[in-house]
Amino acid sequence: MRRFLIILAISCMLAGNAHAIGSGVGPVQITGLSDLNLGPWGIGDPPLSAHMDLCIYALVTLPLTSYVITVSSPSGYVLSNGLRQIPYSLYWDDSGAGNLGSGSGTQLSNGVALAGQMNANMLAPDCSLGNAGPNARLTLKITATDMTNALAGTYTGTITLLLSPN
Amino acid sequence: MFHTSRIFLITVTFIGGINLAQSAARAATQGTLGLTSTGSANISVTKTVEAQITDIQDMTLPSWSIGDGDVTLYSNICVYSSTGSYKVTATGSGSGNDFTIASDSSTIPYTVTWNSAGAGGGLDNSGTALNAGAESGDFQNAATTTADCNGGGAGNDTARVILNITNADMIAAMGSNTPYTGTLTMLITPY
Repeated sequence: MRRFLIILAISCMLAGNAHAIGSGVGPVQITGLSDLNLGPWGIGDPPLSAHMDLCIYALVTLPLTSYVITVSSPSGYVLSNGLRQIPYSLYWDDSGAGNLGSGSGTQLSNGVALAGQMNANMLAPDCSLGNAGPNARLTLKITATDMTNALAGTYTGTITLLLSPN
Repeated sequence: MFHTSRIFLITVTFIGGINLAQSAARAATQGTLGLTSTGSANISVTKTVEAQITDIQDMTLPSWSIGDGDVTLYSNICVYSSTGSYKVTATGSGSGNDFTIASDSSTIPYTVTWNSAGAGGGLDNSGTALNAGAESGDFQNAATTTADCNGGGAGNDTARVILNITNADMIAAMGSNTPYTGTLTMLITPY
């Protein structure tokens, strides 16, 4: 494996794809995104939590398999129903294929890059080779207090995930 | 002539829910291979339409004698509605759900008034008259952020139900050693 990675890195650099040692090389790809539909939620129900497991592919980065993830939403981390809003929080778990959910992840801030994330797949854009399978998890949480304070209705929002080499 | 009237109320809690879930019209988009990669996902959550009525107290008049005049009994109530709005349907335990209390075969009619001033809104004995078994008009000022009105009590409850018996009806009632009793059931429907 080590020999393959070294050869791969050298090949990319020779091909002019390496921007600088110590920064990402690319290409990268994020797949496995899914919509998160929570609820219905009523008084007395527990806090809401939902997640999506993602395939992060990064061809060659230094340190190997590291990447940067930025999750943004135009109005901040809130779901809207007209002028009404429900705040939510997002957490990024980069523990890698087979280990997702083992930790709570790192809390994200809207539009703020989270660098130094590890365990991307560097062998297959669909994460089917090597340590195969989803290697990152995005978890969304809404507190029971915030749900209690909301008036009835359906609240929606959109998040954009930007993946960059480290 | 001496009458003793007593009204017992059985608390009734109603929780109703209407699922307003809507399916997301759009689907998540996947990133593509490149120097950066961007994907997006939609998020939705539905808060159900539901209501709850709590903190209802029994209303009892220990005794009544000629000259005591009209009778007014009330209970402050916590009405929670996830929409903030609701309707009330009150039914009595008399024949045809009439608002009456009874002692053996004798009955005394009463009227029901609803005050929806809300928490801290100065609940008093004024309000909207309710018809037995009929859904009321629209009421506002239900609790929306706490299902039990922060424990209820006079300062936190959001509504008051008021029962009135006229002096004439009290005078007309047959004296009895058995208290006049009845049950008032209140159905809260959020909208």
